[in-house]
Amino acid sequence: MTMVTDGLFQYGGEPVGSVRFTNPWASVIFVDGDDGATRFEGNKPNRAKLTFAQGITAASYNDIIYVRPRKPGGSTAGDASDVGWYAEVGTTIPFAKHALSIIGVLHGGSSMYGAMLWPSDGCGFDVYASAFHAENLNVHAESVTYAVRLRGTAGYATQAGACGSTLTNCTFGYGSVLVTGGGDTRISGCQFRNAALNYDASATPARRHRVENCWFGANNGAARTGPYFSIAGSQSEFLMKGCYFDQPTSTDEYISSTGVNDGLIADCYFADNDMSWGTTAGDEIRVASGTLAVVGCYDDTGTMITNTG
Amino acid sequence: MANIIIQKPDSFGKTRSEQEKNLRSEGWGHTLTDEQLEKCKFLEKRVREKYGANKNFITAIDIDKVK
Repeated sequence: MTMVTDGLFQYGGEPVGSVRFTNPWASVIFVDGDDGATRFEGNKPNRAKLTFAQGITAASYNDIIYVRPRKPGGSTAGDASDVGWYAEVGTTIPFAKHALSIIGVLHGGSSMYGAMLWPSDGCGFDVYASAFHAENLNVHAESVTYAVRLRGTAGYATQAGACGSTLTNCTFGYGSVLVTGGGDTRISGCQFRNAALNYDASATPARRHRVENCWFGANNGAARTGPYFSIAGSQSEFLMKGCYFDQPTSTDEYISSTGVNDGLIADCYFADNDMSWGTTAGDEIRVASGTLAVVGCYDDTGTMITNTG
Repeated sequence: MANIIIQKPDSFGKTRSEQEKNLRSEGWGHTLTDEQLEKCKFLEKRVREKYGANKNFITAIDIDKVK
């Protein structure tokens, strides 16, 4: 019998979650970096726009953008065997484009070999709009600070990317994903390849952010610099579950929680043999204050990590 | 005499599964596995029954929660 778990059937059996009841006038936009053209309308696969930026400009709120992977060697810097990428300056999702979805098309394999954005400047996706959704995309942020920035400021009158946005099955290489303030974001099934996931709720308190089933990798076999994951509080009701963390970082810190944060980190694995939990810099899991609990997590000796604070 | 062609905004599909089918037939590739597609159709049916929303879009996060 088919069953639906939490996230869809909760609060008495109503289908909730990120099912989008699309605006009747919402459109589908297509982006194709090889066979698209700037002059095309972007409303059909064979009339696709050429770049992410053009697709986003053509889209309105609630619209869906499908992005085709580039052909191998299709970018100027790639060799013949490389996955091609979209070499653009960073793209911005304006505040008015609420609930915009950008979906990468796959030709097999993971999102690492899907539609890849390699921003040369700015930020991969600088999101001001609420309920933004990205799926199956690869953002290679080697040349910039942020792969994705979900913005939020007090009142959310001009910046609400940190409210209700979702990232799933994406690959982030280098740089970081930064979520500022906000709430109810979900990051699920994503790879962080020497990329950090950072939450900053120091200026605008945040709540109910969730991270599920993500993979945090080192720097091609070398220790990465800085924690894989950080929260600057105050943040409440935070949930991370089912994540994999690769080898220790240069300072040993995997997770850094500063300020007051409450929530749960559960069922995670850390590829280290001397995991420690503490309140000071250098502890593998650092929880400076608050009640961010670590439950059911293990290191590579099979030892359960215990909250000692 | 000029012909005016009016294209509906949802001509590529009202739901994720319809759009997925069209993406595949256009040779663009896929955004869901076959198993995810089946789960997506199940959810669309439930949404239709519950809300009468014939036009909807379901993300992979919710699709993957169907067990």
